[in-house]
Amino acid sequence: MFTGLYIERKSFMHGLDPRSKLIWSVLVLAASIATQFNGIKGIPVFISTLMALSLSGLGTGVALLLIFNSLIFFLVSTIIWAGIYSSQGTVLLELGWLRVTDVGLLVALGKFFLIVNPIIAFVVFFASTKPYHLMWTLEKIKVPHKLALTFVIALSLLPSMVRVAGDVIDAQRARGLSLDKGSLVERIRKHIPIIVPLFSKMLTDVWDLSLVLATRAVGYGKRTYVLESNWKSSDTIFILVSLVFYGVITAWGMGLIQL
Amino acid sequence: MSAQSSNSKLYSYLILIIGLLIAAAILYEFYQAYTVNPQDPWSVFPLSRFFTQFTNIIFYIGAVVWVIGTLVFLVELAGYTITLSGLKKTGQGVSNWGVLDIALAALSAAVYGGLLAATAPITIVPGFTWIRPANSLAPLFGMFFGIPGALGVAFGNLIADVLAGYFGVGSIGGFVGNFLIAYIPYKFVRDQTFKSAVSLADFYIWGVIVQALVSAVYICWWLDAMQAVVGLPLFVIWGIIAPSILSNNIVVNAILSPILGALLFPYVKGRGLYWKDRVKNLA
Repeated sequence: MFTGLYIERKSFMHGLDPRSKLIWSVLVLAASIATQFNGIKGIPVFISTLMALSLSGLGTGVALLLIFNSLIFFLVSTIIWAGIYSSQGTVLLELGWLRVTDVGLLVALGKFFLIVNPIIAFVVFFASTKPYHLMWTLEKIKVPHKLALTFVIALSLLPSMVRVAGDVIDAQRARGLSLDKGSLVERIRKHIPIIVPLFSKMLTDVWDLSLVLATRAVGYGKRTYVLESNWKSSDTIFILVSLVFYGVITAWGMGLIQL
Repeated sequence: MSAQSSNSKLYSYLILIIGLLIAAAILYEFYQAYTVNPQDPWSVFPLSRFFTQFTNIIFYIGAVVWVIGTLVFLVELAGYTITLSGLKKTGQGVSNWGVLDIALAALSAAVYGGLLAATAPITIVPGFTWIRPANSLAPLFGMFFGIPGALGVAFGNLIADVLAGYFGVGSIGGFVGNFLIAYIPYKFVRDQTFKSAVSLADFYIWGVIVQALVSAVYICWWLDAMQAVVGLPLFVIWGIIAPSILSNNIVVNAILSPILGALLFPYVKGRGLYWKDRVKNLA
C-alpha cells in the first residue's frame, strides 16, 4: 500500500543514491532549458533520459504512458511554435493555415524537449526511489520533517486512492449512475455520489493514520533512519559523467562552444 | 434590528444570485465563442480577449499578487497570519502540527490528487474547454481543515502532476496557486457551515470569484515569468490557460462546492476534525 509511485526493480538507477538521481534530474532540466531554441541540440538530452528510463527497468507500461503524453506535447508544440516562427527560415511544409519552416521546427522540437525531458527525468527519479529514501533525501536537502513526511505519505497513498475512487465510480455505475449523460449541471451534480463516499472514507482514515503516526512517535524528537542511503563510487562516476555530458550540452545550447 | 437582519439576508441572496449568474454567463460565452468561431473559439471568448488585451497591466498586477500570495503562503506555514493589526500566531504552522494535522494534510492531498486522476473532465464544448468536478473539493479542504487542508490541496495537485507525467517548473506556481484556492475561503469566509445565506454569500465572493481570479493570475504570472524555462508562448498562457483556470474554478465551485459543503460539514464537525474545534486561538 505504501509504495506510491515506486516500482520495485533491481536496476542501475534503483541502485543509485537518491541524491545523485535528484542532481541528475536537475541537470536534465538545465540542459533542456539551454537547448530549447534548437531541437537538434536537445536530442542527446532526450536520448539520455530514454536511456535512464531503460536503465531503471520500469517496463513498457510507464514508457508507453510517457511516449503517449510526449506525442501530445509534440503535436501541440509543433502547431504553436511552428506557427509563431512561420515567417523565419525555409518553408518545409504548408498545410492550410499551418506553415512549418526549418526554424519553426527546430524551436518546436526544442520546446517539446524542454517539456518532456524533465518529466521523464522526474518519473525515473520517483519510480526508482523508495518513499523511505525519498523522505530521507528531502530531509537531507533541509525540507522540514513534517512537510517531507506529509508529502511522502500523500505520494504513497495516492495510487491506492485512485483505485478506491475507481471502485466507487464502478459501484455507482452499477447502481445506474451515468456520468456522461444529462445537461452540464446534471453531469457536475452526478459527481456528488462519488465525492461523498470518498470523503467519508477519508474521515475514517484520518484517525487511523494519525494513530499509526502517533505509535511511531512522529513529531517527538529528532528523527533517525535505520537504512540510510550510502553514496557509492558508482554515484560519483554517474554524477561526474552527467556533469560533463550535460555541461557540454548546456554550453553548446548557450552557444559558448561549437561542436 | 430585524430590518437590518432582513437587509443583510437580501444582500446575501443577491450575492448568491450574482455568483450563479456569473457561472451561467461563462458557460453561455463558451457556447457563443464556439458558435462564432469553431476553428479558434479562444480568440473570441471574452475572458481570453480580456487577458490577451491587457496582458501588460495584468502582468504587473500578477507580480503584486504573486509576491503577496507567496508571502502569505510562507507566513502561514510558519504559524502566523497577517491581520490589520500585524502578524498573529495561528497555532497552525507546520512546526505546531500534531499527528492529526499531518494525517489530514496527507489524506487531503491523496483524495484531491486521486479524484483529479480518477475522474474524467466534463467537456463543455468538445475540443475547446472542459471542467474538473474534483476541483470543487479544494476550497472545502481549506474551510474544513484549515492550513493542513490547504497544504494538502497544494500537495495533491503537485502529485497529480507527477502521476500524470506533467511535473515541471510550472508545477511550482501550481503548488502555491492551489494552496491559495483553499486558503482564501478558509481565511475570509466567516461562517463556514453553508447553512445560512450569509455563509453562502461569503463563499460566493471569496471561495468562488476571488480565489478563481487570484489563482488564475498567480499561476499564469509564474508561467509568464518562467516562460524561458516552461516553454509556453504568451498567448497560450494568458489566452488559454488563464481563462481556463478562471472559468473552471468559477463554474465548478459555484455549482458543486456549496452542495458538497452543506452535506459534508456536519460529518467533519461531528468527527472533531473542523479546524476551529481543533486549533487553540493563540491570537
